[in-house]
Amino acid sequence: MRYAFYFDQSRCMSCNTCSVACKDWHGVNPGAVRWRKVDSHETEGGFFNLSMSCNHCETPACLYVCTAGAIYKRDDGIVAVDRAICQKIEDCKIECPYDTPQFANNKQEPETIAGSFTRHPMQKCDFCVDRIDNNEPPICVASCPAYALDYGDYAELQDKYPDAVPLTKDDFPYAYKRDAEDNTGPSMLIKKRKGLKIT
Amino acid sequence: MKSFDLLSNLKSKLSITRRGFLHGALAVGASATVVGCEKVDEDTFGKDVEVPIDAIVYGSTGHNCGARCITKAHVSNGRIIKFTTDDTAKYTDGTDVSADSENCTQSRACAKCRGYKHRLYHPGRLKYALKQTKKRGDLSGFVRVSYATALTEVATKHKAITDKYGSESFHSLYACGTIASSYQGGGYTGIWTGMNGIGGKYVGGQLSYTDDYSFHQKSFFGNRYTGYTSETFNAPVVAQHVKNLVLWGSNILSTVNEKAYSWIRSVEKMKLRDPNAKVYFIGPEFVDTGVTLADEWIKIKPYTDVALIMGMLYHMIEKTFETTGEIKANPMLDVKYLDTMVYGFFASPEYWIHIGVKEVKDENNVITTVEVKATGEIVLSEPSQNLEQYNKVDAVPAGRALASYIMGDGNYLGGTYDATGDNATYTSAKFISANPPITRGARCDYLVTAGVGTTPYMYKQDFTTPKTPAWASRITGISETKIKELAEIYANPANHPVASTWAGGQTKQSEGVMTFFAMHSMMLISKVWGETGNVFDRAFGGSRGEAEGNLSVKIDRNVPDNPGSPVIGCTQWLSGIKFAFGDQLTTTNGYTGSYVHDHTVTDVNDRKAYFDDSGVKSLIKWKRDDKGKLIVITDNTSSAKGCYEWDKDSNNKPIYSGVRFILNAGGNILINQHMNPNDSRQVYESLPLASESPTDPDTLCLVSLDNFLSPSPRWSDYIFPATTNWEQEDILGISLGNSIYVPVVSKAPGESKAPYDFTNELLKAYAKIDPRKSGLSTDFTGGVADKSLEMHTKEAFAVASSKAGILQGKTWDEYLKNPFLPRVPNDSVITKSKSKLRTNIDKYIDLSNEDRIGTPFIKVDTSTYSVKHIHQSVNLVGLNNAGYGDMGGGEFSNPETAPDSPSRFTVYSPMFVWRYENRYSKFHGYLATADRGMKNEDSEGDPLVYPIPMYFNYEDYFMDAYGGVDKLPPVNNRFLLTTTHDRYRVHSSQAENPYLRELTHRTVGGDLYSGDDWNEYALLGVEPAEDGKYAIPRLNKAIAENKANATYSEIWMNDIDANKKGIRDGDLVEVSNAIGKVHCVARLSKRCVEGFLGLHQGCWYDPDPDTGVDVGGNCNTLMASRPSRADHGNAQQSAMVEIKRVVV
Repeated sequence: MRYAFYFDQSRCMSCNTCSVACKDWHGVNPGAVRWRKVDSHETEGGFFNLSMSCNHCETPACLYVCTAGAIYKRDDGIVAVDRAICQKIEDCKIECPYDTPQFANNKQEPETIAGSFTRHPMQKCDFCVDRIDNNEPPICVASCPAYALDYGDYAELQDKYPDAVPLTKDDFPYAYKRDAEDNTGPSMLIKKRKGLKIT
Repeated sequence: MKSFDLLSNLKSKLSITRRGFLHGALAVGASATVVGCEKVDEDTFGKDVEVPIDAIVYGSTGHNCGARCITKAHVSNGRIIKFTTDDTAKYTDGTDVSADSENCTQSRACAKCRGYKHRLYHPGRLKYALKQTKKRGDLSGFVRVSYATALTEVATKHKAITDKYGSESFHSLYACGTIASSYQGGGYTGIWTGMNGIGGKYVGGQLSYTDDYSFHQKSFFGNRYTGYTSETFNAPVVAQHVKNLVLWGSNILSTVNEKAYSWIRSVEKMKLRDPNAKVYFIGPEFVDTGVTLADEWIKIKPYTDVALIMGMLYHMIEKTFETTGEIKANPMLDVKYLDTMVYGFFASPEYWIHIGVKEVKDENNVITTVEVKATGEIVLSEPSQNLEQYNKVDAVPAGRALASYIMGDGNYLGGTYDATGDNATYTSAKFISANPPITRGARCDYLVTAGVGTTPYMYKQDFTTPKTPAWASRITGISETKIKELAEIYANPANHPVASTWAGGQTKQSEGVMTFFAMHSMMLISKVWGETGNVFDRAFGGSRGEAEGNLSVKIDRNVPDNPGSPVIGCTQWLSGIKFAFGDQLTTTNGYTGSYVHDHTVTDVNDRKAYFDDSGVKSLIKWKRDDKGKLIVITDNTSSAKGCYEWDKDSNNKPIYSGVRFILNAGGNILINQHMNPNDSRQVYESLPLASESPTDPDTLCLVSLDNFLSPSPRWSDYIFPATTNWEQEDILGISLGNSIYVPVVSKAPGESKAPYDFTNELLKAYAKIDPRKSGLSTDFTGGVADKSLEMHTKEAFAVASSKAGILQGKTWDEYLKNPFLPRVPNDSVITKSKSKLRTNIDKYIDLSNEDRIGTPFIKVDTSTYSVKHIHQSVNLVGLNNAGYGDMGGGEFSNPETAPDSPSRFTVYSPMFVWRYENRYSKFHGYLATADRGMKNEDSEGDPLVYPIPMYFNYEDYFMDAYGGVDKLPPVNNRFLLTTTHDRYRVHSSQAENPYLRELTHRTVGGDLYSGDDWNEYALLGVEPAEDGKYAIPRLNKAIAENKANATYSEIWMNDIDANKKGIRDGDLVEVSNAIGKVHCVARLSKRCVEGFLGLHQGCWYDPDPDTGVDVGGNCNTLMASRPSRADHGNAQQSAMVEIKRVVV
């Protein structure tokens, strides 16, 4: 089992319903931290929407650099963080090709987690384990008015969406930090939007 | 605010756990009557409110959103902690919900409803009734008064004003913050506003308005002037038939969430069916609808759609005629059809059509007039016999026809009508015998009184200029090749069906009416009508299918009729205030008029209605009969015969009612959403306060009902705190399903009340000061005092559940657990067909004289679209047809002077001009004859309104609105600005919501989503300190305190332009013109054409007290007061501005 997201770029209307529903469900206060981000990228050949959260990589760069041992991978592929033991070293943020790990400030996260090492430990998409363990889709998938998001086992998603391609830096350079390597095996499949003619 | 952070102990949650409240919800249900409910705070006014402790409750939103979708509130400990949306898996017929269908009706909410928690529990929510005691807009002047005292004072003031000035002086302002139902709504279907507003009728009547700020120009133009009507537009039509979908600036994916998926899925299917099918987007800002759907973005400068259309039409004409006027071998246009069925594209002589006469019977069923069937015969001179059996069609002068305007110099139009064939008695072939002979067109000869070389109006300079694709290219920025390609898409039947969409933005531009006139004309001329898929509409999809389980509550009331009264255009109420208080709006009192450049203070003092006038001249006190109806003057000796009779003062002068009392129930039009808030503000601040003496009938009174101290309440005299959805019982019609009852699930702050309860209490207050009003509150609640909406609903439910139907046998609690039933999609195949009119017209043109015998004459009848015999009286019967959209002005003192209908499609409309010049004339008996109706005259004495669609250069509007050519922004720093809706506000509702605000606001120098003024914005409603003063004097506290985390609205700007101006992404910029100044943060994007700025609508007006700069970034601060041409609507998508970086 390898949980993954599917994203239909030809359907996404960058409405941010997924990102707001995610903040609301997970109680992330207003502020810069948002576990799922939606952007419309302007590149040669048109404008391309991307809704992306943690890609729950096969070989997560964040996990391997976390000297506090706060990041771990579940049997079902979900990459999770134990916020209580995070030491806010932030190497995870540096190493992640997608800039996924995030850290709040006092305003956005006024209440400190009881017993945690640091006041604002790393946070990111947890694949809505509280929901999928209950056979409910992640909140972002369930929220999408354009039916542009799906989730499931990576191989099964490939079968279900034969037009989809894996997330790679070649196809989706705007998903990556500029100097990032593309070697973590993201669990993300995308149906690409076709190019746009501008006249 | 408590943070519910699930991450606090993630590991422990990795086992299968779920929050208790979810289990609880299933067990407890959502009923508002379950055990464990608690009462709200002691200081809450009125009846006790109970809310569920732990539940999941179905609901929706009541704002004037483009859609109403399903949200489910998750309640824990009596507080909503999060929302989910519809996850219905099966329709009521047992089939699975599937996103494969373009009609899928699972009702998924968008970000606005998902972020609602931070609106409900916002610290800035209003709690108490407030009264202004200093000067309107002065935050230090508000004092808390008891709700009851405020109600009594408001009722007293209302009575004093309407007793003296008549009910027409009370205006219930267009408001749409709470609109979704007629139970709690404050909008046009609601309690207080518009034609159906019952609140105003209970208190003696009101001045009503027609239409709204969204679609004024489209509604005004209607379908009757041209006769164009769209075929059915729905998702299966797109999926199954449309070949080219042309989005003229469409923004539906952002504004109509309900339809968004229908569009996406139907376009997918359209392309699967036909790989060559295409979606074009034409617009200056490539909005999300384009990003998602378009194959091609055709970049166009704002406000130039009509120029594009004229360029397309030129190409069609050029491909149809030789320069001499002879028809080419393979003409692009169907000349025979145009000659006979499209009035005014070409010149034509005066003629009469035989239309027969209908049978008439008297009261004894005896035939008094024998039917004569129409023959359709055309004669070119007035028939000497049986004239009543003929319909006269006025001549279209050669230099005035639409084709003459397009060709300018008359080239290509010199040909004569075609007399070949044997149908010359019934078609335009008859015109060949006109004496003198007539050609299809000539050099354009619309007058330019000042002379072409003198007039500054650019459109007049261009009358005789050929509107070639090259001409259109210079104006629009679109290449000539592309303009020709678009022409061929429309004119070549091989490219049909072509579905075209208009956008809300086009109906709020200075020349928006012209866009509709031109689009109708172009589609009639190119025959893109009358076949499946040839459509012109705003939106499609979303709801093809029937809803079951609707809950309809009927509250029996005996609502008094509204007394006879004029109905003004919805945007002209401020002009009505100026009309009422013209003598007080003086420079001495502080009204300088400095934000309005085409209407002086003297004009205001002289009660010259602005832009003459859209109903404002009608706002005097009227005489009424015993039943309250207006009285028509019948005295033959009176020069005002045919007009309504008016009241007079002791000096025999009319009593200027104007607009003197405004109830603003859940809206922000009062200052924010109306053009030119700087001017509105000056008006309000110059006039004495209402609260100084509630019994004084001579002061303006502004009353607002709101959730926040947003700009409109801020400049009001009285403010009442209001509930919003989730805090008030309501019945909301879900776009993709049935209407559902939504109980109270969250306690509203302080003394907030729902509109239903506010109205009930206000009517009680009325009864105390006016015995004639006693009993009205009980009538309002359905004959039982204080009967709640919940009780009414339960009674309706009891009936529904006892009858056959989907609700049969259900209990109330079962219903509340899941009241929503999505429509069952209708996925049936749509057969491509021609409309009856198209079929018959196609046939009619080619009928021979011999075949004609017994074939009725075809009239293009815009109300029925049928082949029918007609009678001349139809012309007068049709005069007040709603399809003309007169905005309430369709009351004429002289209807007999109206031009006859040509009974054809019409692209040259004398009726368009006549209606303009005679609108409201029945109310103008008190004026000199020359001043009746609306003056169709610009500053040079030329018409404002012509009978054909024309391209009016945007520079001309700005020249008039800004006070001259020299008042336009400098040529080297001149940008056109529009104000599209983004999806993170509903107009200006939710402008305070930090979950949404952070998506449109940025710190200076910050990246996207760098907004961090959570809980530092819109706190004005927080209680005043002990001394009564507010600690927070500004809407945006962080800006006022110059804090680094202060955020500004983004303004979208082309990156090449920005580079030239030395502006970088994230810079603070000042955008200004002769009307106002705003501050924003620049967002650089290739999604804007060069020379364009996009400031999305709905930010709250927040003027700096020292500089007057609106740091709130309200787009309307830059919008001139001057209304749009012809309809006098709002031109709030039209601004010319300059921009500069602000050094911080």
